[in-house]
Amino acid sequence: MQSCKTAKTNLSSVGAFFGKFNLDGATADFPDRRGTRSKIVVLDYQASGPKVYARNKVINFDYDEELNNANILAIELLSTAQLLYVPTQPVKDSPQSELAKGFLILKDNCNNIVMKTPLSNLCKALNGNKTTFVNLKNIAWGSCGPVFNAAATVSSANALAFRIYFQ
Amino acid sequence: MQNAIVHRSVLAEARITAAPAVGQRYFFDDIPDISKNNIAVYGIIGYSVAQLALSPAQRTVVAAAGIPSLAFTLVDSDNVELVQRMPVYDTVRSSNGGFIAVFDNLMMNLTRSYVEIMATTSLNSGESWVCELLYRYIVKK
Repeated sequence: MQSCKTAKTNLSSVGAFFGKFNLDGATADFPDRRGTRSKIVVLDYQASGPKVYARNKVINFDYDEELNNANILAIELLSTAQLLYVPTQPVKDSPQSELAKGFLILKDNCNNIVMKTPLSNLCKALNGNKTTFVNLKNIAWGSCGPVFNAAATVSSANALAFRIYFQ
Repeated sequence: MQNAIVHRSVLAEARITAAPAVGQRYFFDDIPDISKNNIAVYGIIGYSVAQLALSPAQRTVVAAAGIPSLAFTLVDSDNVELVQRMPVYDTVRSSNGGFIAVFDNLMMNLTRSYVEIMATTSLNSGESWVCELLYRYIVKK
């Protein structure tokens, strides 16, 4: 049986081991205050117009000077489980079942893809209530957006609502 | 508790090209931008069809029930197995309380790394295992 002292020593060495990843910038602790500000960004794709939904087409976000100049620190995608309607009511959020049909592409201002992730990876409700931490600078927000590539179409009656944490 | 921070990420996939059989290995598809031994991978998020219906290459993703049938091995340019036969299940975030599998800067060679079939349960030819690699570019001296 380990003595208390040995157990404490082991605990601190484990802490030091994982602390290395924090210092390296690879990880952050929960609950970590990600950024000083946050906002909701709604992507209300429609049957016609500039935000028309089409399979394999990137539906771009609106240009956002604030996010272009910000350091983006966390991204969450809300589902109807968390918020029934987005601010542009009566368009609803997307249900969780639709999030597997596409992924989000984020580009920097040199048009390099810096992050490509399934939409379901950004939804807290599907991931043990854990926020997805990022550390992204020089993002060209207007060039970013989701792509739906699954054969089954998504309903244009729905919308995507992202919560962006930044500073 | 900690979780990984995404600095850069890309979706990689390994396709099951034949009728599944135990012991078969399927290598990851090439991604030119990260295939010059120029990245260090520090996190992996695995996906099943429950999280992503089709891969970016339009292939069906492995079923959730097929995930425990797979293990992956990450290999460097000298064919050293950096991570040997890790269960794919351990990388599926939604199955692990939302935590991301974190590694200590693996200088992996993508196209020499592979997924291996440990059981044929719920696997089909033509399906892909898709994973998101969290990585950094490394500067060679």
